[in-house]
Amino acid sequence: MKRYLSYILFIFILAACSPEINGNIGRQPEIFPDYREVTIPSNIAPMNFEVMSQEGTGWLAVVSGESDSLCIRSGDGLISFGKRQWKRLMRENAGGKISVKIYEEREDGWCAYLPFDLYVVEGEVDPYLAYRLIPPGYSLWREMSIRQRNIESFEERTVYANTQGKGNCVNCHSFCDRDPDRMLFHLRSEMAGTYIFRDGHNERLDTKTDSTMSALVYPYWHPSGKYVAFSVNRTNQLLHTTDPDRIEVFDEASDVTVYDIDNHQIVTSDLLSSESSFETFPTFSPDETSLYFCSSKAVAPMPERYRDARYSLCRIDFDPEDCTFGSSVDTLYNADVKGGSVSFPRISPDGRYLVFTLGGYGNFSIWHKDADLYMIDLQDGTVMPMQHLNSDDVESYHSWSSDSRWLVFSSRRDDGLYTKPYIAFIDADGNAHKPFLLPQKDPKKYYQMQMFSYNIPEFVSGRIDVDGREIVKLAKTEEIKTRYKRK
Amino acid sequence: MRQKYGNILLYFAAAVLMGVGIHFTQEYRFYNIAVNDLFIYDWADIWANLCRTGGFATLTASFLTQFFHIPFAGTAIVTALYLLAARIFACIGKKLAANRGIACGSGFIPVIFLFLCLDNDYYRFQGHTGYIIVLAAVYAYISLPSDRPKLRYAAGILSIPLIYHLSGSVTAVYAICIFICEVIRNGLKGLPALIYPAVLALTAFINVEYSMVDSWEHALTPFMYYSWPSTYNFPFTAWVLAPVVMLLVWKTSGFKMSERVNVWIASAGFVAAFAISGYLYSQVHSRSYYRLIQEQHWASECDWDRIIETADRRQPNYLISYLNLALAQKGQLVEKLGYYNPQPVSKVMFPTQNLKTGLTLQSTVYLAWGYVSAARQAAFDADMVTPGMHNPQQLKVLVLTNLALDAPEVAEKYLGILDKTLFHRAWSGNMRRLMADPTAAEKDETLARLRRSLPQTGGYVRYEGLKGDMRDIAAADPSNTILAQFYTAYQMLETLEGR
Repeated sequence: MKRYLSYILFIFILAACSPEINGNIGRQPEIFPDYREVTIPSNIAPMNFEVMSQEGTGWLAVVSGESDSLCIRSGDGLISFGKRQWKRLMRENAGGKISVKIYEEREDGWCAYLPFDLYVVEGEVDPYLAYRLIPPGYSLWREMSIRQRNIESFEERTVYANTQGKGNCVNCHSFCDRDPDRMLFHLRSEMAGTYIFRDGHNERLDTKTDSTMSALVYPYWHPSGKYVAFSVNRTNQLLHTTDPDRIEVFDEASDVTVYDIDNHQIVTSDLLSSESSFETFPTFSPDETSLYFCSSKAVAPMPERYRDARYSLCRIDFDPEDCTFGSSVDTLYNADVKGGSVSFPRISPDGRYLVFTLGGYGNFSIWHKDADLYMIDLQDGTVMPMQHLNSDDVESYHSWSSDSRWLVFSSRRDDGLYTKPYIAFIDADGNAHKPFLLPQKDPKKYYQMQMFSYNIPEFVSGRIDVDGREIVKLAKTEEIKTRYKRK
Repeated sequence: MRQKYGNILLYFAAAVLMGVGIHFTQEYRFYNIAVNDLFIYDWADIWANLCRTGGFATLTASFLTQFFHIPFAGTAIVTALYLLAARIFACIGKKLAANRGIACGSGFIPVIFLFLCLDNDYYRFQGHTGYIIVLAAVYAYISLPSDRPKLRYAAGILSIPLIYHLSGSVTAVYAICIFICEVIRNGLKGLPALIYPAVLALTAFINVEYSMVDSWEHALTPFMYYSWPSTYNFPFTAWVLAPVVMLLVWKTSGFKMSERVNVWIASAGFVAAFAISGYLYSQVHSRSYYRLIQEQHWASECDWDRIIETADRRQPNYLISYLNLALAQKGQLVEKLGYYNPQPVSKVMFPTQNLKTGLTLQSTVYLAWGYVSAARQAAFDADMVTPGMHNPQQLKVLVLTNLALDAPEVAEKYLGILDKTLFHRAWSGNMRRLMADPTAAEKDETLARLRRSLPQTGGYVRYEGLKGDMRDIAAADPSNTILAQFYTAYQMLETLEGR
C-alpha cells in the first residue's frame, strides 16, 4: 500500500513539480562538480551535476529562473539538463541568476535541501577550449593528444593524437591571441620539430641550433603574430620517495629567446640568456612592447639544490619593429624578497591584470601542491592571492579569455593527481568568482574514468581546422632550419 | 551417416590437437593477455565503446579475455574461436562449391596466421573477434537468395559501413570476399559488385576524415588492432588468405570427390596447417620473453617454488628478476646468488624490449622491497602502456602504494575502476572496508609493511642510485628481510664486478 502511495505521490510530484515535503535538510546538497554559487557564462554547456548522497533513493531538482522553472527527476543522483531547456534558461537569465532546489526522496518521504544559485553573466566566453590530454606520470605514455572542446556543448574533437603519427610526444600547444588559425606545438622524437600554422601557411621547424642549449620549449605568441617568445631549457626529472609532491622537474639551465617567424631566426639578448640565471616562461604584453619572463639565479649543483631555485617575475622592453630588447630588466615580483617562486605569467588581453602561479620553489608548479594563483594589478602593482580560485592542492597553468573576463586554470583539487580544467569569472574590479569545473554530460562518471590530465588549457575563439592528417603530411616535409642571433 | 560422424570426428580431433598445441605454446600468454584488457561493466563505458569504430569487436574481445586468467579458459576460448573460423570457412566453401573437404582443410590455413598473431604482444585480441565477425558476415551474405540480386547488393552496400563500425578495418576482408563471391557466381555480370570495395573506401575515408580512425593505414590494414606501431605480417597474411581460400575452393568445384576423400583432404589440410604453424611458431617465438611472462604469472600467484624449480642456471640472472625475488621470498637469495649465473650489478635488470613486461617486473619487485614510490611509478607506467588501458594487477599496486603514501583520493579512482570488473570487485570491496576502518587498515599486513618501509627522510628515487634507496628502506624497516637480502646481493655483485 505504502508503495502505491509513493507512486501516486511521484506522479503528483511530476505534475506539480513541488513534492510534499516531509522535512528540511538545513544545508545545501553536496554535489559533484561543486556548482553551488558559481558564476557562469551564458553560452556554457549544460551544467549537469550529481547529488552526492548515501541516503537518497530519488531526487528532484527544481531549477528556477526569472520567468520560468523546470523540474528534473533523477533516480541515480545525476541531474541532467536537456540541451534546449538549458539554452533557454541561459538566454532568459543572462545577467541574473538561476536557483536550484534539490529534493531528496528518503525512506520517510521527501526532504528539501537549501537552494543554491548559479550566477549567469551576460557576456559569452570564447566557445572553445584546447588542451592536451596526457597521463599524469610524465615519464611514459602510450597515448596523448591535443584536443579541442566546444564548451557550448559536449563535443570534443582531436586536433592531433600521437597514434596518428609515430606515438611520439606532442606538447606546448599555443595560440596567437586565441586565434585557431595561428597556432603551434612541438613534436618530439621521430617527427620532431616545431609545427607552426599561420593562416594556412604551415611550417615544420628544426629549432635546435649550435648556440642554444635545446630546441625551443615554452612558447608565447607576440600579438602581431610575427614573433613567438620561447624558452630553451635543459630540464631533468626525478621521483620523490615520500614527498607528497610525487615528481620533481627542474631546470639545470634555461634562457629566453624570441623566434622571428618570417626570417626563421631565433633572437636573444644577454639580459635574457645569462649564464648566471635561469630565464623561462616568456609572455608578451598585449600592447606588444614588453616581454615578461621568470628568472632565478642559476643554481648548482642540481638536483641537490633544487629547492634553491626561486623565480622572480621580470619584464624587459621589446620593440616589435626590429625585434630588439630594452637595456634593463624590471622586477615586478622579487622572489628573493617576497618569497616563493613564479611561473606562467599571463596578462589579460585588456592589459590590466597579470596572473601567475606561485609555488615554494622551482618552476614546474604542476607537481607542487603548494602552488597557487596570484594576480598583479598592473596599474598599481598590487599583488594578491586569488583566494576564490585556490585550493589545498595544485593550481597551475592558466589562460585568459578574449574579453579578459574569464580565466581557465588547471587544478588538482579533486584527487591530487589528475589535473582538471576550472573556469572562473573575473569581474571588472579584478575580483575572482568561484570557479566551475568544465561541464560534462555525466561528470561524475566521466571524470572518474578519465585517466588523463588536462594539460595547458587554452581558450580558443573558433574551431581549429588543422587536423592530424595535415600534421602527419607536414611531418613528411623537410624541416626548416632556424638561425640564431644574439642582440 | 558415416560422413557426418567423420566430420564430427575431424572437428573433435582438430579441437583436441589444436587445444593441446595452443595450451602448451600459449598458456602463459593468455594470463598475460588477461591483464592487458579489462572489461568494465559500465553501461556508459560500453556505450562509448560501441560508438567507436571497431568498438563491438573491442568489447567482445575484452569480454572474452577477462576469463583468460582462469586456467584453461584462454585455451578453450581461443580453440573454440579458431574452430569456429575454420567451420565458417567450410560453410562458405560449401555454398560456393561441393568440395567440402577442400573448403574445410584450407580454412585452417588462415587460422594458422591468427594463431601466430598471439605471439605478438602488441596485437590486440580485438582483431581476432573482428575477423570471426567478418567471416560470419561473409557466410550470411553468401546465404542470401542467389536469384535476388537487388536484395544482395542492397544488403552488401548497407552491411559494409555497419560491419566496419562493429569490427573495424578487417571489414576490408568482407568487402573483398563478397565481391569475389559475386564474380564467382555471376561471372562478368557480377562486376557491379565492384561497388563493394568502393563503399569500403568511402567508409574508410569518412572514418579518417572525422577522426574516428587515426589514419588510412589504420583504416584498411590490421594496424588498427595494434596497440603500438609494430609489424603485422601474420594478421595481414590471414586477411589475404581469406579470399584466396574462397577462390581455391571455387576452383576445385569441378573436381568430383567422394565424401571419404573429402574428409581425408580436410584432415590433410588440418595436419598441414598444424605442421606449418608449428614450424613458423618455432621461428618467431621468443623463449626468453615467454619465460618472463611465465615467471610474471607465477609471481602473481606467489608460486615461488615453481620459479626456482624451473629456473635455467645458464640464463643470465640480473639483480631485479623474478628468480631473485623467489629466492628472497624463500630466504635463499644470498646463499644461492652465485648458483644462477649472476650478472654485473651495473646492468640491474634484464633488457626486455617489452616495456610493459619490464615495468611489471619492476613494480612487482619494488613492491616486495617496500620501495613504495618506485613501485607506484612503475605500476602507473605499466598501466599506462597497457593496450586496453587498464591492467588489474597494476591498478591494485597503485591502490596499495597510494594508500601507503597517504593519497587515498587517487587510490579511490583506481578502486572505482576495479569496482566495475567481474573478477576484481571483491578485492576492491575489501580495500574499501579497510579504508573505512583506520584500525583495520593499520593492522593490514601489506599496508603496514609498505608504510614501515617508507624512508624517514624524503629523498629522490634513483637520485643516490638504487643502492642508496635500498639502504634507506632497510634502515626504515630492519624487519624487511626481502629488501635486506637484495641489498646484500647488490653489495656482493658490486664486489664481484669490482674484481
